[in-house]
Amino acid sequence: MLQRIQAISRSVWHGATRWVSPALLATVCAGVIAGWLLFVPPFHGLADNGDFYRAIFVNGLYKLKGYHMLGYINPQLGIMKYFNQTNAAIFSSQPLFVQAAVGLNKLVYSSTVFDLRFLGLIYFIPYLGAIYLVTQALTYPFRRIRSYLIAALVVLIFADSSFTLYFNSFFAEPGMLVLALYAFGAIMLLARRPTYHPHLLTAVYFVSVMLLIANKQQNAPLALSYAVASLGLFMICRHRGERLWIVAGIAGILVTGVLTYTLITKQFNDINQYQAVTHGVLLHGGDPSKKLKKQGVSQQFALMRNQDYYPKTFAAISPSSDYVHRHLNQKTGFGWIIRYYAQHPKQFRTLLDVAAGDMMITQVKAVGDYQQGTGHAAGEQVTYFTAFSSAAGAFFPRKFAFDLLLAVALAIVFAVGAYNDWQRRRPAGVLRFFLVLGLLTIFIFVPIISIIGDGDADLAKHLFMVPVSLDLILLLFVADLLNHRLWHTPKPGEEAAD
Amino acid sequence: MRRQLKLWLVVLGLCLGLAGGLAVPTTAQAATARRVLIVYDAINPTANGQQKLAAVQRLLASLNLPTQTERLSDYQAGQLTNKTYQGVVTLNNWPQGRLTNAAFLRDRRQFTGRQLHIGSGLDSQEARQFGARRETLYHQQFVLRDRQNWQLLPFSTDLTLLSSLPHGTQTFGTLATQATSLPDHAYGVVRGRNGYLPYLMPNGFSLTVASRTIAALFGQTRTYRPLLTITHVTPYTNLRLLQQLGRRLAKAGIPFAVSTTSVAENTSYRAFKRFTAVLRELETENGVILLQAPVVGAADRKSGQILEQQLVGQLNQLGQRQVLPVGVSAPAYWNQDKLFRRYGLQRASLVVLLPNPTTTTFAQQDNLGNQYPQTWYGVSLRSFQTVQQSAQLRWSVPTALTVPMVDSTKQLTATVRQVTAQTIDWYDPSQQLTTRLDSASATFKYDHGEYFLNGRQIAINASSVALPQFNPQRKNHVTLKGYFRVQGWILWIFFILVTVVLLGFIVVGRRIYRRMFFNRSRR
Repeated sequence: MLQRIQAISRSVWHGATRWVSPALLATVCAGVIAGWLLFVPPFHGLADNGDFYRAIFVNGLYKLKGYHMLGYINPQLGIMKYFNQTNAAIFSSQPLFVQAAVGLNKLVYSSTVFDLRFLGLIYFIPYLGAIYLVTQALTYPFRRIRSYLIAALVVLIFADSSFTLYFNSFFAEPGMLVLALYAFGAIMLLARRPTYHPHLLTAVYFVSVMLLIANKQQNAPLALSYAVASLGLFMICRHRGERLWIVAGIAGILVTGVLTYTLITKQFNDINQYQAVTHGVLLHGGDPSKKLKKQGVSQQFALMRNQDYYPKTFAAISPSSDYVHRHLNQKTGFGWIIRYYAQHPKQFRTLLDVAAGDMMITQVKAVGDYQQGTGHAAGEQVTYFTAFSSAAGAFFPRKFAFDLLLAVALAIVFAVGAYNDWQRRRPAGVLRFFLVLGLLTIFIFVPIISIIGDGDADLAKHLFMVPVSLDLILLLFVADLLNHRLWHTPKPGEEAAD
Repeated sequence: MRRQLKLWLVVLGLCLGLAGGLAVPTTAQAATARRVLIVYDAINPTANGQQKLAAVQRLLASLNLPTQTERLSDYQAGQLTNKTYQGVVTLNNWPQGRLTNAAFLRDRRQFTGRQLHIGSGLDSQEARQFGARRETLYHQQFVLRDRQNWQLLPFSTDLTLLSSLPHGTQTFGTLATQATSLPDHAYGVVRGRNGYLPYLMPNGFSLTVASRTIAALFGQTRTYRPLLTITHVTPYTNLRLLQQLGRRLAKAGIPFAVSTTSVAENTSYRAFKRFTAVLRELETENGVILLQAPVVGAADRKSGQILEQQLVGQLNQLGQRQVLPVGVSAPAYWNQDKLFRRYGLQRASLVVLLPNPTTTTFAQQDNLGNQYPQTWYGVSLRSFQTVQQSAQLRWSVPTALTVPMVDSTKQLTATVRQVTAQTIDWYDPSQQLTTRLDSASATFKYDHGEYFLNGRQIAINASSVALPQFNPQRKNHVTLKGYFRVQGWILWIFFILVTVVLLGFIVVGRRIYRRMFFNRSRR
């Protein structure tokens, strides 16, 4: 009897796994979970924090009467009918997504009113593809219980509402999330399944990385990280022509990074430079007056501690005024700030700990997630499917020193796998090592660059790529541990026997 | 039933009568401060129209006249004729626009209060009230003369002037052209209850003549002495230069005011101590301090309380360090905003209205300009540089002549030279001024050079002051704070232990591994 039940359950399991792969399961689950949040009325999203205008007006949209800031999301916007005179405030690949959404909206809904859900949809569809790719990269070629466990982990982490809420908003982050997942999935699949459209996947990898870097100014330094991550691709090249393509791809990534950096507008430079001082240099170090004087800046600027470039209420002087520009911004360049922190390492460590404390908190708490008239208070936060982000935000250690140790430990673990694979002439472990190394540089250097570049202003948003990278590494770690390929990649035959 | 109804009607009548009787004194009170209605056609920013409108609002405020500003298109029929206004000013900023409002023209014709027309578009009916002929002069450059002073004006495309003025008309200044064939015309004209200014400039010599015209129209003939005011001072200003400027002015015997913004936060820093020390020194050098309104980043209807907190915080922090502002200075638009007036300006008995910045951010704009016990008109000293003077200028409104704060030694020398070269008889606060300024918990008083804080006289000395701990840092209690503090250390120790154990295992494991082979080889 017992044997029969076992036999039946085994055959059901085999039948089920034949039809539903872990990747498909993860995609369907993520689709249902995020789809309910984003599309079923009253749908959710993220409210305007004051930055949306950059994406709204450039793309031919305008704010309707009664437009909400901070408290509630705006389910609808107007579509401009006549000539749009707005220039792009920033160089970014984000308009590609928004334009697609506007086009789709015009095609199937209305040519005068824009429904925010079309933007959500434009991110949602590629996002599902990315989830599929990532899960496949982590589980291929297995369909064991542990593979489905990995799929569940992917859903738990990347279908978390703190990530998917971004889709219904004009932030640039959803594009970054989707593209980062594509890049990861594509390069890992290249390693794990070399016969599965290698050329297409390579192209997907490079295009996603370039779009990701061009998505936001602050992503410019990621070019270096992804250049490192791409080095592993040389391992899977068979002949010289392919190597040339890889070299061209890496060069493309670096050029995109440089372009994104140089196209940062003067206004943005001023904002960042100003806030790097008021929200960085002047913080956590007692009275900064004397230190400023010692570094050749008028000590009076110590009084600007904690001031925003765009004052939310009142200020003693306009930070965009000529006077501030001449006496503060022109004196406190990038080099000045680095020199300052070099002389005040304790203060810098404190700031890095602040960053480390913020990095796993992915939910944007500053703005509301609901629509008005749905019975929710202004600024209320969604708690639906946020278990992972809440737990990670609460329990991830808040010390940068820990992050450093973690990075070193992970690098060593993956380096062992790379060394073993190298000796056996198998590319997967080496490629994985470079990818992890690249993502670890994001994990470590993005907080440092954020502090130097913009202080603790907007820190949670500047660090967006950090939790994404760390989540990917940890997922990879757990998946490979479960699949017994952390220390070396088994031969194809061994895998089947395992 | 009917009787009951009657009783009710009687009671209601009584109540209404009583209310009416009570209302009488209020209307009488309102009558004492009836507003002047300013009606403008358009802002016309290309012709600096915003500053002109603000100049009219400021001038009337300085003459102790409350105002209400209305756009011509928003004027409603009957607004003027219901006797709530004591005067009406028609400001024509955009002659090419030819904007009209028939209801306004009709009401203005019937209006019996004082009427002032500024700018082009003086209609025949208005000209008739002056008993004069209109004459339009095209493409001329005029010289404005008044007594022995004159200033060359910028080129004007067209100007409507009045000629053949009847006897008994008051005129202010004359406009002469370079062509000798053309006769001179009057600039400001007042006849009875009507006044006319062919153009208005928010600064310079024209402004002094215009202000005299408006003052005369509203029956005021007092003259004032201007107060030298240093503007654009902030806590971030180069304090060494400010100190030197104060010393040089004191040496030249010129009393002055410093209009400065301040901060309410980070006041325990050395930088703030330095800032207040310099302001204290200025107070001892016959200078007075005006608290300048902060820059408005963003504002809405909730900003009133925030402004109140900020200003009270700033005043208290300054007051503790013996810097006692004698008044408040603000851009003109602050007087057109309900919240900025209530929480910003009304706390002071002396208000200096400065020109508007390029962007004006309102909290609750109501276009109702108020007057304060002393309202001063801020105008730059530089705009008087090209006036050819042979006599003292006459100031018909309380005027603050402003010089911007200098930013280099060179500018300092130039500014001091420019100020001392003037033959102006400067206003001396220590001889003439009495003011009062309210913070939430404190009252600052200035009386002929003496400072009072909450009624107690304060001796200002440049040396440092012992400070009571006014706003001690509030300590936040955080749960698990101790855990988070030691967490890093715990993790360090944990990692080190794990590494040591792992290394131990590696060593032991290697030994076992090797022994395995050695044993085998021995066998």
